[in-house]
Amino acid sequence: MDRQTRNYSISIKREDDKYMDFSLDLDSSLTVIDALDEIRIKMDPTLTYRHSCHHGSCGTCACIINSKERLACMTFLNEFEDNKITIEPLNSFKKISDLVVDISSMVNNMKGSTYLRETEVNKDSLKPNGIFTWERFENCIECGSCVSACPVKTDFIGPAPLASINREISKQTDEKAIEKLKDRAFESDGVDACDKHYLCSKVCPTKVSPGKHINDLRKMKSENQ
Amino acid sequence: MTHNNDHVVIIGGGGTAIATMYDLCLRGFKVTLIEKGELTSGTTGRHHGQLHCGARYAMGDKNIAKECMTESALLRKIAPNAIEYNMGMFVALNDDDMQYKDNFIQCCLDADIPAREIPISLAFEYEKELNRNIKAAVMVPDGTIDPWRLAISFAAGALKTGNAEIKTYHEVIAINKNASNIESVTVINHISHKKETILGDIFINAGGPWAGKIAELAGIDLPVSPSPGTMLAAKKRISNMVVSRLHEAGDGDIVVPQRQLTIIGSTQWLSDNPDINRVPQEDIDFLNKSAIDIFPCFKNLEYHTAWAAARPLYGKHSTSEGVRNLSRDYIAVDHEKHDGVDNMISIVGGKATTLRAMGEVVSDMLCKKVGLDIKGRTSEIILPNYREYYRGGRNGQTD
Repeated sequence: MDRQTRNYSISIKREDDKYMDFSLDLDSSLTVIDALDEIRIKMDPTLTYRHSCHHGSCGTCACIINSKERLACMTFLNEFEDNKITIEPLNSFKKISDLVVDISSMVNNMKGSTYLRETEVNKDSLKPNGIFTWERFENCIECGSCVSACPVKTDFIGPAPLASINREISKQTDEKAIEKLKDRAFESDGVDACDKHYLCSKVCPTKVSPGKHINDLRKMKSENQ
Repeated sequence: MTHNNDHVVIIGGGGTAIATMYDLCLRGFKVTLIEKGELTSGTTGRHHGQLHCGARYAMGDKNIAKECMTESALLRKIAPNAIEYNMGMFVALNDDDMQYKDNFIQCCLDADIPAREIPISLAFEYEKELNRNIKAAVMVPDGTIDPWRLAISFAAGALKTGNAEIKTYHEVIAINKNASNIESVTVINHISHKKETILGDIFINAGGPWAGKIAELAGIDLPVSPSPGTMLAAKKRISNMVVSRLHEAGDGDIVVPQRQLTIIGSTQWLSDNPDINRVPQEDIDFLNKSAIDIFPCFKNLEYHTAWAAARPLYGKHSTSEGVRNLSRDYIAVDHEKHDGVDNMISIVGGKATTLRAMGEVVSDMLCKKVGLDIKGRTSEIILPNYREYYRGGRNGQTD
């Protein structure tokens, strides 16, 4: 991996939508979240941003990096050849401060009785006593990238919540629960509000492909009618 | 029973701080948690994710092993949405490893960990990508945690009681004492940029590797060694079980599958600074090689990322070797007895798997200190889904 110290110009959209520029030397193998840490620790302790796992698993650090929704912890500095990086908070959410946005509006629309699903690994193998299916967490890490990238800004519950509804329908065995989930997806702010831009699938860092899930729901709707 | 109207202020926002907040809220205390960044933005969040059944510690420390067994089983019950439970396997790769085998199994059984050797052919049936040269395989009840979702499940439980106040992006800059009594802390609110004074009756320092720096603000010398380690992740899940090397606990000996990733941990070095922002290339190379020893196909996997986090070890040592020998256990310190500060307790050390127990131990200490006999209830209640943390808006923040 490319590992050399370079000087980076990092522009961060902060209070009152003003951009603040920082110039610092960083190892090019580091990530944008490392750069934000470095700025906070050494240059400006007031900088606020969300972060936790640093390996693309918690979903807290999504922001807009050079005009695209990305996880800051999975965006490596060595991909920016001109060493210039602009970081902005996600769109569509209420801003709390600097890069921190309130994703509660999205999370409160997410569905799912369990966050677990069957794994793709050794599916048909023998399993130890007490293990019925090999399980793993869902792909969606609820980072909000898809909601931010979606051009439909009003009266739409958003790509991630719809994807979660479709995932839950595929896991549910209770017919009544399935009907309830479909009813939610078919409300006016559900599938019909989607304009098929598919930017959600493009920016999703964990390849949930919300657009595909919305299409599944759309098909169910037309079959219901 | 005496009514508990004490207001507790917890400094820190990692797993221990959050579990302590939850425990005290259930006991009826009003609790304010103060964290300078996002919750779990220090050590907890960057954990490699192993839910420890205790087998890793069985040969070194029976008590830690036993507690991990109890706590991992409890967490599976109270936080099922934050755990992939596919069990774990310890594999012996060579004759050296084999020498530990019988003692390892016996030590596990002594710590109530149901370890059992399985035929190698069965091990390959469970995990097809395992090194074909393994000499023995032992099953244990390990699993994988999503540290962020586990921690915010506890935070959701605390918010649900109505007794919790969570102040993220608030940094403590002073601890204000009147003689031997702490009256308040001064914080900078990084959202409003204003200074605030937060009053409290009892203060808990749960700052993880920063706990030493926080204690310093109260004029207390608390020996904490930030002990960073590197973790490496590859872009594909290749196993379902956590697979560990059957030998004495060391570096690069745990492979943790998580979601669609395979993570190998960890290394250990010494630092006097808990803010870690470098990942040594030699660590990455070493971890890569260690993972290939266990799963040869790891060499074909695409690099995902590598990161580091500082363990909060209790004690001081000037050498890396000395720090390695510091216990992985946790300790709650009542500063009234040790440092002449009446109303502050520090909790240091421990691991993600024991967060609930740490919260309970420090809450028990606090109750005893103020003369209240209230039992902890965190082991009896199923935690809310982690999404409930967002129920009230503002990402769970309550300012």
